[in-house]
Amino acid sequence: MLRNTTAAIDIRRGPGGRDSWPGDAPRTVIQDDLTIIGDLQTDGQIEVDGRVIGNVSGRSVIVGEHGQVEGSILAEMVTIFGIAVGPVQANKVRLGNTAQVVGNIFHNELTVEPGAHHEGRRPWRPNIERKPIFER
Amino acid sequence: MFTQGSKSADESGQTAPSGSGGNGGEPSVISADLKIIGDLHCAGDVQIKGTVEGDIRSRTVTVGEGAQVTGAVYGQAVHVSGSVTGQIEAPTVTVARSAKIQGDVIHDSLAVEAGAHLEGQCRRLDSKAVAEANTAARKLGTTEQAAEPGKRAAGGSGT
Repeated sequence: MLRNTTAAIDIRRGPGGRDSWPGDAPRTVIQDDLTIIGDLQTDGQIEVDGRVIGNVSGRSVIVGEHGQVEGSILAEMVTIFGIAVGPVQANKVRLGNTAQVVGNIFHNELTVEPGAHHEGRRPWRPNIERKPIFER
Repeated sequence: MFTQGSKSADESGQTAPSGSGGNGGEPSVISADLKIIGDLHCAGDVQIKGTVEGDIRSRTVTVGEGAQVTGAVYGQAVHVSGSVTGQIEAPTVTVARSAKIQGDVIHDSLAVEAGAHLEGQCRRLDSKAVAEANTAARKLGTTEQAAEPGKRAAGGSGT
């Protein structure tokens, strides 16, 4: 009976029984149809192809071409191909050729590809520590 | 230093096409160590393995084992094998044995596996619609009643 109702998605295996669901390294994917109004925090990787209205904190944050973050981004490594409005703080920051960033970029290593738009300052810091947004 | 730079470029180079590749049907995944304080709105599918403190509105919501949701969950289909504290409202609700639900479940079709922890009322969506219609009718009735004395008073003052 359960099987019939869960034909589309097996509860334990995730859609299509993809093995990426249970065991792999923690990776959060926000697809382009998802909007989050609030803050996100993780020690793993976040891939934003949707929209986040709030702050994002993770070890590695990737804002995809369709992604949009309206808030601060705190990470060890940030790669932006989409839109980011707000301060970016990370040791390694990369702005891809389609990036549109408004806000200061606090960085230790910064890569800006030709075509990237950036409005704001780019202060260099010797070491950037990621402070938690909220208690876990 | 150069190798690191090229490595990060490779990584993002891999992820960029996946983002632009029009993810038809690919679900959004909230991984186990992720915590969200806020609401989620999604036209497609969402899988939650982490912690969400807020409401979730999506077509399909899967609350995985170990996941914690504090807030209401609305969808077309909701599958729960984690913990949900709050109301669940969906035409199809599936509750696995590892699930722990504290809150009402409003559904058209409900499946509960043996061993599931379910604390709350289970109601049908249509009964909710009837109840809402009743309360709406009651409200309408009270406003009509409230309006009537006014009319009388107006009529009384006229004479």
